Amino acid sequence: MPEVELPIGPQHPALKEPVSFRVVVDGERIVRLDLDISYNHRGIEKGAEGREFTKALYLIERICGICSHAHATNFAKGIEALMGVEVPRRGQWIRTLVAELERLHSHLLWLGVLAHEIGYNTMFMYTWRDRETIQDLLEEISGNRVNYGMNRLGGVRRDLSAALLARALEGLHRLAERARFYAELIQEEQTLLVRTRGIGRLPRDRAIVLGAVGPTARGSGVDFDVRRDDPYAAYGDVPLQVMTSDASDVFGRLEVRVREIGESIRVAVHVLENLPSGDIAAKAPRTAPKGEYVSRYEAPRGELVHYIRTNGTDKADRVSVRTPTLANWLSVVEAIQGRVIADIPVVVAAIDPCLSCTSRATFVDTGTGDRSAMEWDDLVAYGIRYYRDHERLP
Amino acid sequence: MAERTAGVRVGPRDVAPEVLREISQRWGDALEDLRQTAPRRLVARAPADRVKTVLRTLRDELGCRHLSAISGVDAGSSLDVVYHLAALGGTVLSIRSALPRDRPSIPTITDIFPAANLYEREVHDLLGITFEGHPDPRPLLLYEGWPEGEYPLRKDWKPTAKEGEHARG
Repeated sequence: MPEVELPIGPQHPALKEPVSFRVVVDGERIVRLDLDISYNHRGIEKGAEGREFTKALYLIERICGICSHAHATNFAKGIEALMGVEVPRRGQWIRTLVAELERLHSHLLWLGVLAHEIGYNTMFMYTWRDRETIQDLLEEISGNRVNYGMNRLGGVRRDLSAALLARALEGLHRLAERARFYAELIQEEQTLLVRTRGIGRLPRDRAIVLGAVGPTARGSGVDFDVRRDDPYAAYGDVPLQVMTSDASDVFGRLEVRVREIGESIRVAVHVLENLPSGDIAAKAPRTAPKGEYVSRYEAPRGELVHYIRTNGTDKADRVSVRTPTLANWLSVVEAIQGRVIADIPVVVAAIDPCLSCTSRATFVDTGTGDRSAMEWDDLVAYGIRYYRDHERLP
Repeated sequence: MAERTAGVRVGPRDVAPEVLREISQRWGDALEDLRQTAPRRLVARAPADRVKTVLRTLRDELGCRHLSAISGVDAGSSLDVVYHLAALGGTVLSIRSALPRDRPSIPTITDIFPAANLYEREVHDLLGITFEGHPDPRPLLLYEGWPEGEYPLRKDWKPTAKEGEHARG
């Protein structure tokens, strides 16, 4: 059978990272995957160089709509380190609370996306409904459902009232029950098991060599979490269990995220029950002395790196951003090799790249030059049909 | 109880001083200006032709198997490439190599750190630094119509507006 190139993508305007895959297939089997992420470079790093720290903070928060707090906190703590500003404990703990709520909303969203990709829409409905608990809390705490704007240099912008604290605890206790339900469900539900077990294999050694981070790495047994290993905000003071799985496939990545939902709830509850009193922010100077700092953060998708250089003014000389998704691409490229076309949606979705959505796909037969266009949704439907026929899934 | 230094919280014990001591005792001459800048943060310099040897030694003998990132910086008189390696106990070791502006070129490290593949391509796109021997040096981040030889993160590069477009720095 001649090799066929199968381009998927590139973009959907609602997503932060449009990407195009060119998949070379031999029949059903994937020979090679190549990616193109050139569609939407926004020049935020250049923009950040020309703006005062206080303005750059808001720009950097907008790198990502899903993990905006991750970017803003990582940038703020980097600049604070260079300025020598110490954030008051209450401010650190509130940053941590919002960080864990953000992880919860991100993981629940992802769980729904994965369920949708395999045609398990009941679970998609469940997780997105449960996610609303978190979204409502985030809105009450910050005033926003996305781009919370909680950070300022030196601390956070908003405090938590006792009444809000109680409501947040109530919501989290309700969600903890749901988290236990999901943890049981993923071990039993046939649709999930057939579509994730043994698929997208990434052995531990390869995950390390390819630079995988976050649940992608931990799902292959790599015991690395910035929150524990290089703690920031309140993480040095809050009990935290790092979740790993030795499954080393899509199921491993699923298992890690589902267990992290439970753990994030425990961390958030601990923060709410032990929130220190005092100020929420310290006054930060306008300028930072000349220096450099590598700011790291465990975003929902893994280790996020901001390398910041300052030059004594009120603007950064350089803000170099390495997102977890960039670190995880090579793992997708490797994990998809040898699998079938029907597995593309789950293996891609398993690193949670913020793009598992509508994209146009074109099949090109390299022998005849024939083209046929396909939507990402059609590809998902094809995957579901394939497994229905081959594995007798409902 | 966690100790604090200069605005950065230190959770568990900071082992960066020990990492620093070990590196300087064993490979003191390979790295220049090795020092600790913050809790769990070490920086050093290495010339372009020695970077790969240094990184390989750190990987094999100090267990620095995770390359966190590669950053490119326009430092005015030079173009810098900075390799961020994750070392023991949450330490990050940043090794900087300064390249001349007129010929910014450095050997690729993709053969010893495959994870460097996309990072090197990104630095090339944005700053025009060549990674000699890179297995796949195609543009990565900038769109296909991007003019050759324009490197947007260089300080002397300014966005220019085409008709009907906004250009803001």
